[in-house]
Amino acid sequence: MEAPTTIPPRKASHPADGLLAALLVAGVGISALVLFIGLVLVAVTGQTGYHEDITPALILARQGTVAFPTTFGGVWQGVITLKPFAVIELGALLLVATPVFRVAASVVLFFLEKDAIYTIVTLAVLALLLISLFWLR
Amino acid sequence: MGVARFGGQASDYAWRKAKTVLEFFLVIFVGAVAAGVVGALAGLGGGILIVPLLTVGFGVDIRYAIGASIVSVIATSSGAAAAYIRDQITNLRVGTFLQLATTSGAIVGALIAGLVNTEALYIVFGLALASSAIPLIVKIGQELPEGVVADSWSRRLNLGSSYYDAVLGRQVDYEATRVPLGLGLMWVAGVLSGLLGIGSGAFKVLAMDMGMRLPMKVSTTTSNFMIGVTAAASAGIYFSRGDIHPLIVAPIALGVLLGAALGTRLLVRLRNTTLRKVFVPVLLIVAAEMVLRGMGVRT
Repeated sequence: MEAPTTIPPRKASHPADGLLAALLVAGVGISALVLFIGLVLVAVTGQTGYHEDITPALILARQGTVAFPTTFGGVWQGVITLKPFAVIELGALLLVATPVFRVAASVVLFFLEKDAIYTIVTLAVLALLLISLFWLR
Repeated sequence: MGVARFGGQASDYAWRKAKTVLEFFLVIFVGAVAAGVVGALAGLGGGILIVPLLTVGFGVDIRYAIGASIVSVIATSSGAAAAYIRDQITNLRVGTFLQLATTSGAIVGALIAGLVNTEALYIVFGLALASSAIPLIVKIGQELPEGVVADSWSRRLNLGSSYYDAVLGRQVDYEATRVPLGLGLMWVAGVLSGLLGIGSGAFKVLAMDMGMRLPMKVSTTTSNFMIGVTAAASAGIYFSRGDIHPLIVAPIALGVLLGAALGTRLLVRLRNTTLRKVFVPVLLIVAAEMVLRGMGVRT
C-alpha cells in the first residue's frame, strides 16, 4: 500500500468533460445573445416581421394562424431578412439544439473510448431527439 | 405576482395595462426573474413556476406558457449541467442510460399534450405543482443507502461508481439496483416533462434515489444533468406546433436565466433549509387555483 496523499482521492477528471461543459455554456450564451438581439429588434422597430399590428393582446387569444415561423426553413427565411420574430425563434431553436449537440458529442466520445454499449445508447437518444425535432408535431 | 387574485375579467391582467411591447416585455421579464430567484431558492428549478406565472398571473394561454417554460428549462438546466459534468459526482453512465427513458417519455408527453384539452392540462399541472411541495416538507431518500447489491442490468451497464464526498471527507463507493424500476419511473418523469413543460427534476431524483437506491448527491446531480436533454425531446414538438411564441419565450428565457443566477448567489448566503418551507403554502395555493381553473370553477 502506498502512503496516502494529502490530496483528496478524486477520480481523474476526464479531459472530455471540459469539452461537454464548454459546449453547453457556449450554447446557452449564444442562444441568450440571439434572443436578446431579437427582443431589441422588436422593441426598437416595433415590428414583428409577420404582423402589422403588434398589440400584446394578440397573445392572449390563440388565433387560427400563428404570426411567426414554425418550421426550420421558415425561421431561416425570416432570419436572413432580419425579421424580429424569426430572430427570437432562432434563439429558442439554438437553445433546444444545445443539449442535442451535447448528446452528439457524447456519441463521439463513447465511440472513441470503444464503449460499444454506451455508443449505441447515446446514438438511440440522439435518434429520438432528432425524430422529435424534425418529424413530430 | 398577482397570483391570488384571479378570475373575473381578463382586463385585470397586468399585460393588458402594457401599452407598448417594451412595457409588455418588462412585465414578463420581471416576473420571470422573480420565478427564477424563487425557483433557485426553493430548489424547484424555474420551470414549474413559469406556467402558473404566465397563466394564473398574466392570463396567457397555457399552451404558450408550456412552450415558453420548456425552453426556459433548457436554458437554466444547460448552464447548471455544465457545472455538474465537472463536479465528478454526476454519474454520466446512469444519466446517459436513463435518458433513453426520459426522452421517449417526453415525446409521448408532448404528443399527449396536443390531444388533450387545456382544462386537463390545468388539472394535471396543478397536481404536479402540489406534489412538488413534498420534497420541501419531508426529506426523501437516504444520503448514503446501505447494502445495495447491483442487479444484472447494473453490472452489465457498469452503473456503479464512486465519488469524493466533501462533507464526509472520503471516497464513497456505490452500486445501482432495480434498474428496470428506475427506467419505468424515469419514463413517467419524461412524460410529465413533455406534457407540462417542466424539468420534473424532483421525479427524476425520486427514480434514482428511491428506485435505484443511488446516494442522494449522485441522484440530484445526475438528475440536473439529464433535464436539458429531456426538455429538448419535447421542445421541438412544441416549436412545430407553434406553441413557442416569440413575444413570450424571449423575455421568459432571459428572465429565468438571470433570476436563477441571482437565486443561486443568494442561496450561498442564505444557508437555511427551513427557508424552503416558506414556499410550501404559496405552491399549494397556486396549485389549487390551477386545479380549480381546470375544473371550470371561478373562471
